[in-house]
Amino acid sequence: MKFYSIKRITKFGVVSFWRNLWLSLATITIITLSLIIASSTVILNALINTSIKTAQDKIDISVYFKQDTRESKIQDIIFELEELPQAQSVVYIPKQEALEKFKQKHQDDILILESLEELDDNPLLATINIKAKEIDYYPAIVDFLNQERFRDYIEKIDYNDNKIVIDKLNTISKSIKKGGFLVGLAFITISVLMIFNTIKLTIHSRGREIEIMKLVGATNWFIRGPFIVEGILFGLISTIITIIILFFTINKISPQVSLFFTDYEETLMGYFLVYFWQILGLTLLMSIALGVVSSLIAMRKHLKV
Amino acid sequence: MINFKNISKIYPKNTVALSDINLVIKKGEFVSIVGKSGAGKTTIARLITAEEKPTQGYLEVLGFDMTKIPGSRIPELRRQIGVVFQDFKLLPESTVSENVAFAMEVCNIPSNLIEKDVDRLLRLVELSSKKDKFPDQLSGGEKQRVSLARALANKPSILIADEPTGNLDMVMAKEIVDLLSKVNELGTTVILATHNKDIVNRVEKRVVTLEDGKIISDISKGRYKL
Repeated sequence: MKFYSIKRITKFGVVSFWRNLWLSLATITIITLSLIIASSTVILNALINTSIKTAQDKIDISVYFKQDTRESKIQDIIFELEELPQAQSVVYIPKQEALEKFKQKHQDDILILESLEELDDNPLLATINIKAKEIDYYPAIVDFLNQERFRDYIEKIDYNDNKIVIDKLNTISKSIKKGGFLVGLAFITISVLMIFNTIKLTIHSRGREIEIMKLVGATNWFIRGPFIVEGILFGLISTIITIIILFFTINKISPQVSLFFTDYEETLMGYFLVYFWQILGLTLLMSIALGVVSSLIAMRKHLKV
Repeated sequence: MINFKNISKIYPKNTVALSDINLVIKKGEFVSIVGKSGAGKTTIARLITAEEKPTQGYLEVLGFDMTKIPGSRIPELRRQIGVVFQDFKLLPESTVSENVAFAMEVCNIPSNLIEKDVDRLLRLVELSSKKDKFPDQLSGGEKQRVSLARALANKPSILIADEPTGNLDMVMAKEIVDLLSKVNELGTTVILATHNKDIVNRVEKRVVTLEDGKIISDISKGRYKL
């Protein structure tokens, strides 16, 4: 294809975009709405997954050793725990370290510090914090610690306190992941169908024009060209509008979302900015591909003159 | 140039549009194809432009075997045939000069040549003053003149006018037919399909008369009978 036909096709595409401005705007509106639905679904899903992961990371089992447990015995138990296939990490906090941490935490509270000075001994217990690889593995680790042979050394296992929270989070996260995926899939399918049908209507309304082009001797690619250019324009403009709307909406709701996921350090806005180029690229790719492919499919019928 | 040999065209449900047509049209001829509506005039035009394929027989147009022409070569054929339609078939969103230029643009003609040719064609059909108007802003006769200018844009070997005066009053119809004669004098083969008696008699050239898909007379310097 010669250079001036590409130039000519581009010109035709742009001119017809302007001449059919209302149709173009309607198409762009529908594509934009679809893109917002699709990208919000993806972002929301990712956000929920990240926040569940963050919450899960905060869960652990704390084991407090009795005052008189020997250091070597503690090391033995730690060694055994580290060997457990379910355990991801085992962090040991000796008595002295626990005391220092406690002091640092209450450095402004003179009353507590003074009471500590009164005591001869370190009242705090040696502790280990255990994290499991999966949220389902915690009961197994607790069972392991509850064995008869450890009874003389362990003062208390701090798991039952968290048990309800852990179980609840576990159930919720499973159903959210499953539901989120299904809802996301449904929304994205709806978006794709909406875009396809809008473009089909746009092209149908110009079937006569396509027929005339064919009758004056235009080749099929010469006819498709301007519609492809329009498809690209639709995709480009819709993506820009979508990203702008997403940016301002997220900027507005980000603080509230952060409040809702209380312990979640990362804000929604932060997430959006980190993945900005991926979101932009995917949206652009999806909208242009849909615009062009829908045009090509919708035109097939009209090209048979 | 155009050779129909025992051509039949049968549409689905056994509707016979043409049956056993034998017709040879030579270069430079002006042929009027006349008959009532439904006689098969439009089918002949559509067979020549490859909008339809014959059901039976052999048809050659400008060296192409129309029974076997592949879709990819149809544009090449159509660029050598100009067509004027009863319903004009103008691009509604394009101006007069764009409509004429369009036929040349699809043929990859450089823009500077197109501009010159469009001016020349619009002068020929006397529409230079309306070149920036849209089809909606024109009268029927003016639209048909745009359609004619477009049909002539690629200096076609054949010009087909299918009921070009069907939507026009007599004064405008005569203008169009005079333009067609002028085009024919300049060397283009003209095929005029019509049921308008007065304009056929005005032309005084070869007349082929169709009835129920058959040729019932073919007279040079003929008049409209029936």
